[in-house]
Amino acid sequence: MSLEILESISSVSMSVLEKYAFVFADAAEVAEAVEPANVLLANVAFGGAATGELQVAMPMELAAEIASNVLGSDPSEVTPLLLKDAVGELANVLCGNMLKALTAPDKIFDLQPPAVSAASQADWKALISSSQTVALDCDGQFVLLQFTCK
Amino acid sequence: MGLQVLIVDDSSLTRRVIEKTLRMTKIQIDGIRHAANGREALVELRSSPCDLVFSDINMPEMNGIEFLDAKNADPKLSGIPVVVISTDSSEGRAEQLKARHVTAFVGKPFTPEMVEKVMSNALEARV
Repeated sequence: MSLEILESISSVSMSVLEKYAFVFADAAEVAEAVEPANVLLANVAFGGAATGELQVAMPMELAAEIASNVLGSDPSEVTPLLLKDAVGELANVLCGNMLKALTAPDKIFDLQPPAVSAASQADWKALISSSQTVALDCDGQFVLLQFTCK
Repeated sequence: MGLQVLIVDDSSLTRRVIEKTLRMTKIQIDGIRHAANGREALVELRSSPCDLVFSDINMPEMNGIEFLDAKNADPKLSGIPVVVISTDSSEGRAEQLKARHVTAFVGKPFTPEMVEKVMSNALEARV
């Protein structure tokens, strides 16, 4: 994947995080992304004009902030179910916007429902060690994104 | 008399956000019901009247396109306007939805202003 595409992924992600979740992010070096204690991993697979997947990993703490922001409610009202839903929906919105930015406008894609789970240390390490991963710094909390499209 | 609205999205969080957005508009709404996919939406529409539907596209069990096809094939439901709110907002998808007589198409992430505008337009077109 070219540097230009990775920069587009980063740029689309920062824009979506701001508009969808009111979270401001900066591009970061993947190597700087220290593994948090608890991480949620969302996967969105897609088919149609091309096949691929988006993986998004983020600290639980940031996921809670996003859920609270999206709902416009107190963080104490965010249940574990809503937390997973928020991360899954964010991954869904990110994936749709990346496909729109990176592919021809007439192409139609079918996004699968997001799968969200607790990430293992191995999941985080796999993302960190890939040259296809993009990192964002959200006020000291890191989000890792890996977008593949065939 | 206010409107009856149905929100169809597999994300309960998104359904709550859309409902909150609709409640913030000046449009009088009497009832808002939820469905998690197209199949549930058809059951809801057949069980009681509805003035307007907000629907996602990518959903499990029955997606938004399949839902629109089933709704449009049912003479009792075909006249109910549908606003699609989806992350999938390509021109290709817009053409596909236009062919299915969708009233409006809003891409995610959306703002409350976008939702209020398409809702007002959809209701004006209905009168």
